[in-house]
Amino acid sequence: MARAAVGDRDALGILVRRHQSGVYSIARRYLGDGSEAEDVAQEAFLRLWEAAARYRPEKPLPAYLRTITVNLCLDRRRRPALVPIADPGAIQGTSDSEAGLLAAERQEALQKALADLPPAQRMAVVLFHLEGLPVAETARLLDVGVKAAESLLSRARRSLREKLADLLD
Amino acid sequence: MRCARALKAIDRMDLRETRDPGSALAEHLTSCPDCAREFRRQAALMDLLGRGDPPGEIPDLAPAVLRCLPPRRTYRESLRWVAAAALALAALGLGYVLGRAWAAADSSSAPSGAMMTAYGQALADEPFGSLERAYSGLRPGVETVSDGRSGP
Repeated sequence: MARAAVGDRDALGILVRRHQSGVYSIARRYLGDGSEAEDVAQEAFLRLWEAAARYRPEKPLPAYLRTITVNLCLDRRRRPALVPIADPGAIQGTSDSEAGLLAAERQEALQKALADLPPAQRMAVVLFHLEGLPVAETARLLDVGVKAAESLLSRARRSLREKLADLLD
Repeated sequence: MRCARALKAIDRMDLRETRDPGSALAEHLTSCPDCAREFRRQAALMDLLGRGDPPGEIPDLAPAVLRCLPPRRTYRESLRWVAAAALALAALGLGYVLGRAWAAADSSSAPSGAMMTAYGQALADEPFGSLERAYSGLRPGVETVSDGRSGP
């Protein structure tokens, strides 16, 4: 990061390759569209480049990048496409069997239900359940208190349970 | 425990570490089939969300990010910018010095404050008076006009 701060482009390239999976994953899961997620991820790294001189190493870089990514995603207020939960290829790999078809069907239903959630609830589910972040980090990224983040997650889970009742029974 | 409280407790459960609903809720679930169904649904939902696979193939973003960076400034280009800035500063300095010199030269040939006061007084006394009359006011003892009035 120190090298990137003095304009070393190769250092930025290394940083991108090291952190792109985390950045892209959040954007892809929230926005549901691969090319849009790539746009957001690129924008996040360009912002990192612009802010490199001001970056303080006390803040871990993954957390810093997550903050930029979440803000960029939430700025795109429109309804997302389907939220991908898992690699579609991985599901299709087992789609020969009846269980594989059922799994794909369940994932698709879940994607639709997630896409219908309000943005803050959707982002909370993406960060906490899909990215596996602690609730405190989810709260920090959403710029709310821990209680508010827990409340967002509770409402999201209830909403998903109602929408997916048939599937979950 | 009432159903409303039980449902809130179920909503709060992320069931990440344990599927144990706790004794109070467990007791309610054994006697309330509706809440028990919600608890089963919640567990099924957590299983559905629990798949931690990456969302598809992660593209290599580095080439695209590096392409979007502003063009790198070369050493020769930086030198050109420094030279241009130095020239601009020199031009400003020269302009300032010349301006000061011109102002100094101008002030030595300009009329003094007393002369300007006398000139203004002459115009005020006789708004349509001639310049010669005004001039005579500036140079006492020099008669230039004979219009029937006496000079100062």
